[in-house]
Amino acid sequence: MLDKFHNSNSEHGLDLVAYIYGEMDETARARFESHLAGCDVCAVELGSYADARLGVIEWRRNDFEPLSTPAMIIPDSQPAATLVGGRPRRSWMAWIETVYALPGLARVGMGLAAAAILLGVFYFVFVPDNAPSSVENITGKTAAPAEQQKPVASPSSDQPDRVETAKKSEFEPGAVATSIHRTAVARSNAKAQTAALHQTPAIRNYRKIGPLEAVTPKTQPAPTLNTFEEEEDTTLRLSDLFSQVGPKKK
Amino acid sequence: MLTELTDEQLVELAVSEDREAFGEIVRRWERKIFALCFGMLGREDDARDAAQEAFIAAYRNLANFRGEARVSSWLHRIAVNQCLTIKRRAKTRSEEFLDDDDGSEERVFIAPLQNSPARKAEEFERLKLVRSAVGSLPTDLRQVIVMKEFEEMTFQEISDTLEIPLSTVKSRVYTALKQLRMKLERVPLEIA
Repeated sequence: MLDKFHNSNSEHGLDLVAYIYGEMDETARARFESHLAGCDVCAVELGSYADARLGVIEWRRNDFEPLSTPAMIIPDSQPAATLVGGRPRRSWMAWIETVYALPGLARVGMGLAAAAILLGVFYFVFVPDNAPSSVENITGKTAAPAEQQKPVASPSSDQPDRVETAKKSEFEPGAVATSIHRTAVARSNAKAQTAALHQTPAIRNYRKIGPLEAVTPKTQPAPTLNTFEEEEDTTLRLSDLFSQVGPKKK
Repeated sequence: MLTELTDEQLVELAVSEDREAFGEIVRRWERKIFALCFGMLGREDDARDAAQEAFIAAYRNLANFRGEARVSSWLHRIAVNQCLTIKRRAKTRSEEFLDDDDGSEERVFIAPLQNSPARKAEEFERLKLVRSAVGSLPTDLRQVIVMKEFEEMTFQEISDTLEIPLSTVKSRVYTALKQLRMKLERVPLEIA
């Protein structure tokens, strides 16, 4: 009966620990001690709890109290934000000082490397584009002098090999008319090839014409385009074109 | 001087990069935090590590400290978290820990002769049993019993530090003592 009363009374446990640890005021302690005098259950319980507590105290006295407090290492005087944030940023002067702190040989090497980089940048920025390139020397092609390659007409931008250069012989009587005629033929060839790429029905008729397909940019070497008189004239003339497309004359 | 300031005032100074203020906080609490860590972990080396890491964590989180809580509460919470971290780490390494002792050893305590080897051996075994019993308590019960016995804090101080009601503190201590009593219960000699 007394056990049930004690277990159901939550104040009992609180009074018990307060009494064990000596944190009970005088009035409450006197009342509790008078209860203990007539309650064997509470007395046994108090004894067992006190024994458990004495075990912990013994452990503390034997193992903990002889120990000295370890010296705590306080972090450096840097603020918390810097410690969490990582390494601070270095200034340019710090980098320069680091370079000057290197050994002499390393400094010379770094200087030479920097000079090489500067020379390379200077070469690619300031050297003009019309200077002889090393690629032409490797392939063995000799570039013609600039004064001998005066472009007269360019039929189309996608056919650089069709650039015709003017020669002295072309300024003879009748040469101008021949040049205009050839230019017109070249333009018609370009139009025909463009139309063939699009493959419209009307353009397919032009593909039947043999000389138009025979003219390809690869067959004409660029430096020797000025030798039309020596080659066989296989280009399409306007008269031939009109004779096939236009109305036939009776 | 710094010694006359409260913990909260010292934290304010420490936030404004006053290193001496944080040093005063460490001096005030290092023994109690070390005692707490020792009671929670049961090993001196682990307790040293936990206390050290707790103060480092406190220093690094000074800016996050809000004045709503007490400095003692804040430090205890950090220290308990460090203890739990170290305990988890130790379990992961499968080291022998005080929890690993299942208490299946013999629990008979014979009245020894004073200062005899048998007496010392029995003391050693009893302390081992107490460490095991305390270590097997749940964390909240172990914390209050360690704060009570190792830090020698009053119930009211524990209540203020943990920010829980006074009756809860007493109830936890009562439950902890009840469980310790069961674990340390003597086995009658005639049965053994």
